[in-house]
Amino acid sequence: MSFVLILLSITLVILALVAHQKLRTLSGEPQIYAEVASELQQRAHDLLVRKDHIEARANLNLAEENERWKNDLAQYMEDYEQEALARRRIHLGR
Amino acid sequence: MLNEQLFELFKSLEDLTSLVYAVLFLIIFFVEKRMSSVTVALLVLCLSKGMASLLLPDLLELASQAGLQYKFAWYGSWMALNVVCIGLILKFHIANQIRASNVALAVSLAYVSFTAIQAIDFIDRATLNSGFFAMIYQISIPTINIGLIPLICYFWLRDYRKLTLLNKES
Repeated sequence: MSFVLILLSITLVILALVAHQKLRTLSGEPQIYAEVASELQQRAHDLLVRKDHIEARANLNLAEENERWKNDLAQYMEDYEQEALARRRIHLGR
Repeated sequence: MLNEQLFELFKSLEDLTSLVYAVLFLIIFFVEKRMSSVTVALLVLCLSKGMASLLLPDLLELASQAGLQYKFAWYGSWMALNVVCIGLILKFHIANQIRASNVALAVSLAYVSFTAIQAIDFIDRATLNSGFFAMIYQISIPTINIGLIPLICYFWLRDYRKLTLLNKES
């Protein structure tokens, strides 16, 4: 009799813990932050791939290509900085 | 003596907590003007307090009878109420697709600890009957109830500040 009751109370505690654990998975970073981070990562990867292509072939219009690449890199760095500033303001409040 | 007076003060403070929860819920609801994670947690907290005050007289009568099954009726119904409350918070979050805030996590952690304390006290009563955990039970439940109030205020104000910073930016 008492054994069953003790087992029942332990089951209730485990149920409470499981529900709490499920609630904890619902917290954390919002989806949009993860999307932005993923997009920035993808752009950085594309830039690196393009740099590799430029270095690999010794074309005639290398200077022009290189110039475009540098412009894109500068644009990317600016976007990254803006994103970092926004995150600092939200998460650290300064 | 001094200790007993302190305990009485403690008890009277605990009776005020349900009122404070309700007032906090109203204030936060009027400030945020929408169903958020914080208001859901506070709503469930108020609901459980109301249910507890409704159940208390019947359960006290039931628990005063001798026999282990009556003791379990007391502890088990509190534990079941706590589990239902955590489940309600979880269901509300899933149904409205809202992110769990720190307030909701703190409230659900408080329910988990209530359940654990009650289970430990019941197991102690069913097996050793030492009465040591009865004291812990009597002190820790009001402590958690009162301690939840500043915790909710702190977490909510922090989230609110973040939200205003986010709105200022865009």
